[in-house]
Amino acid sequence: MEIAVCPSCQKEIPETTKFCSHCQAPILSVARKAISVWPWRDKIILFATLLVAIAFFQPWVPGSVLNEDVPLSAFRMLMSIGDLDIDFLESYNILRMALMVPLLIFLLFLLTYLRRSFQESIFLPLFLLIIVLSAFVPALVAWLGKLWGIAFGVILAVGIFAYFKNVMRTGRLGPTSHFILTLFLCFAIFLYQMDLAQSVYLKFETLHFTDTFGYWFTWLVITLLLVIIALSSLKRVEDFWLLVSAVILSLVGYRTFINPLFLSGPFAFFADNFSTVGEYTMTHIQMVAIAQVIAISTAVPIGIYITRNPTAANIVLYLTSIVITIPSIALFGFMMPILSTIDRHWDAVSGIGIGQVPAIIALALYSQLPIIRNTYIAIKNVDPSTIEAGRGMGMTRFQLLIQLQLPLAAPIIMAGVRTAVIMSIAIAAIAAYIGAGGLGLFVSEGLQMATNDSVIAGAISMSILAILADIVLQKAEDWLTPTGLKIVR
Amino acid sequence: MSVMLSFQEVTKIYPGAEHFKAVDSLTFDLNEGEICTLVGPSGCGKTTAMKMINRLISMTSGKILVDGQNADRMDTIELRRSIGYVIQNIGLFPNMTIAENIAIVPRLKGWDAGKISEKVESLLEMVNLPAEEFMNRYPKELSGGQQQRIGVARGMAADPPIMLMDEPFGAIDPINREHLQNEFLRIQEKVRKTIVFVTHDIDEAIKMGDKICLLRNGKLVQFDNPEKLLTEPANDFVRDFVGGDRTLKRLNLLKVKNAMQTDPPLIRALESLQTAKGKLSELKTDHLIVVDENGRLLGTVDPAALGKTGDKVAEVVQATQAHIQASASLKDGLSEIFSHDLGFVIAVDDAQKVVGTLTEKDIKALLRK
Repeated sequence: MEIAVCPSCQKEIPETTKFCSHCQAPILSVARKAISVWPWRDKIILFATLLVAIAFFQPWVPGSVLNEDVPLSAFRMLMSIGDLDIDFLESYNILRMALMVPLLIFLLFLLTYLRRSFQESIFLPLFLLIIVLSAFVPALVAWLGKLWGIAFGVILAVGIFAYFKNVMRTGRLGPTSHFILTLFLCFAIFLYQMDLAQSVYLKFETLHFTDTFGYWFTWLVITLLLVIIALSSLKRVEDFWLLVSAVILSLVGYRTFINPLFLSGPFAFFADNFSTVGEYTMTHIQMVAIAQVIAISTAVPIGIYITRNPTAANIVLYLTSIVITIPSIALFGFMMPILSTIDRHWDAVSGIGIGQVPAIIALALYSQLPIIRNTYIAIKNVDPSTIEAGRGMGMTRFQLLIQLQLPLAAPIIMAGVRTAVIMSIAIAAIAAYIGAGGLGLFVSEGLQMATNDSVIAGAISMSILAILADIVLQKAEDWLTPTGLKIVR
Repeated sequence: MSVMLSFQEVTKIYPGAEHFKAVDSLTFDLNEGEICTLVGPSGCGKTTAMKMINRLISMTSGKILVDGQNADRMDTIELRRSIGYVIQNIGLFPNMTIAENIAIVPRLKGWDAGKISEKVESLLEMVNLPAEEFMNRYPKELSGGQQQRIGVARGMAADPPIMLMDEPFGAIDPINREHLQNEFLRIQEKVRKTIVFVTHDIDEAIKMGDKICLLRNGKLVQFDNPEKLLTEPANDFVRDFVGGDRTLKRLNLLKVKNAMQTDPPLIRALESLQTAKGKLSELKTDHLIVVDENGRLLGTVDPAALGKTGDKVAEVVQATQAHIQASASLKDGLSEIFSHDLGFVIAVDDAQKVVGTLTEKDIKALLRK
């Protein structure tokens, strides 16, 4: 058995502990081995990067453009490079270049995270393998469609099975596995380099990229480097299984998620309309935000007031319930004649009868119910004995409200605000019909022109917006909750 | 002693229940530094009576004088800030730390920060919770008993001359309650507040109260000190409420020193056995109490012990556990008598000096008085 040494106090420690038994320092080489002990942040970064990496090697456009039934991977593209249209390739490669940024970030992350013993890490080879496999698999699938492909698959499967059995039996990776892995890696890096080179060199139409000495030299150096890393890292069987499961997972993910996602229309739509998406999103956010500021500043005081007046409480809660049952399109329509009257009075040139004003008013109205109701319930539910103690000690109503009721009610009020915001993001989509703009435009335009991609793109971006808003507001809720209430005994 | 709190013909009728007087012409005076326990069956108006003092409930007629001033004429907020308030459910503010909770009234009164933190620390010491450990914790992190101590400390924070306590120990388990009661009485010894203490537990009322105000259906049935309430119940209701064991309850109230014989059969340890035998036959008792030079208890000797060989009492003295503090309650004294076969217990003072003996007969004689 190997004897591990704590990096900070240099004493011997059991091999599998995560923290040094002498000085309590975290043992990184152990912590690094199992993903399960990673911090969540790192897990998420790895996952996200894997997705990006996989996407990197996926054809960005549907295969139909190229009259192909199977989607094109880098490998396939390489095989049929002569048939490709240069214009298409250029736009395609620019997108790929854009994707380099997150990849570089990931590499940076790896370098900082693993800086203490880089050669022990299995992540770089793991990372590359996954990239390559995801590029390789569609081609493999196409091959397997043919008979000899099946034969090839069977032989491969038997070979892999026998190999795994051997690895399981001996408990470590032998020279064969190192050889296979190295071969695998070399191939991967070859493809990776091809792809990079292709994107760069194709700009110079006259030059064929494999003609240059620089290309082959770079390929050789990087390949050797990565092979060394891979060989020194994969010492343990569990490392190998980790790698295999990661590959399988990524393949599953690729087949079910990544491939349809990146090939489908909405994403192509996003790519084509990048700046419009941003503009509409900003309008959408602006509309909802203004409506929420209005809603909060009216609904919270109303909610507080009705806790002191049961008759008003009944009426207000009843009214807001009615408002929320009005279909949004009807409410927008209802708003127009009222606001137009004001327009006429003011002799307004660009009126407020349509556009953002009625939309914001309607959103603020819809938001009343969740906020008022939550405020009312939250303040009603503050422990009466606490209130009595406060009153008995001589706190004024205002002091009770500020020092006691509102802090205690804050989390529930914020939950109401969250509901209102999410609801508003959805309802604001309808506001596109009265000229308020926002992401609803994608939906309404898409419906008018029967462009499904546009509708789906609008829907997806609104969902993402809603999810992000919810996360942000949850943080806000957490921040507003008094520390004393978070304690669980 | 001046009158601190005075109820004069105070009546409360709740709107919607005009035929029923929740508190009916309640009249009593409470001296400065006394604890008055308001006690009675539920619905008797004791909490209502108490809450009228700080005007959480408004009275229908009559008046309450707080330190000679009509409470009704005072500013409500000022009045409440000058009266300590401790309630059954404690009502600590969960969003504030312990220190902030205690500091509420001083802060409302606008004390400066240094004075407040000083006060908070001294109050935490007083209720036996180390300040540095508890100051920055939150109520939810504390046990019920600890929370109630904080509640009491909070009530005292602004040094109010009067405190209102609404069943403050009601929600606490019996063992802790007993402990908190004793601790509270110890604190009261020092601070001497005028306290109105509401409880439904007659034992607690007797234990805590200098005066007991027994209410029934809003009417004052008896206002007396505990001793009087037990010995001279005003009517059958009081007799029933106090319970058939009221004589035993008096044992709780009376002290050993009230009942004991103050001429114990003493003998010094250095005297000879002959002297001891002489004294034994002279006093016609079965035991002699052996003390040292300073009168401190060493043990007892009986005729059998005196028959042994030796010449000084010190050589034959038998150690004994049958002793009790003279300031202990008679209940404890009686228990001691029954748990030793000496037939009596030796009463000692704080310095273990023998001050008397207590027998069943002495207790009986006192109770019959």
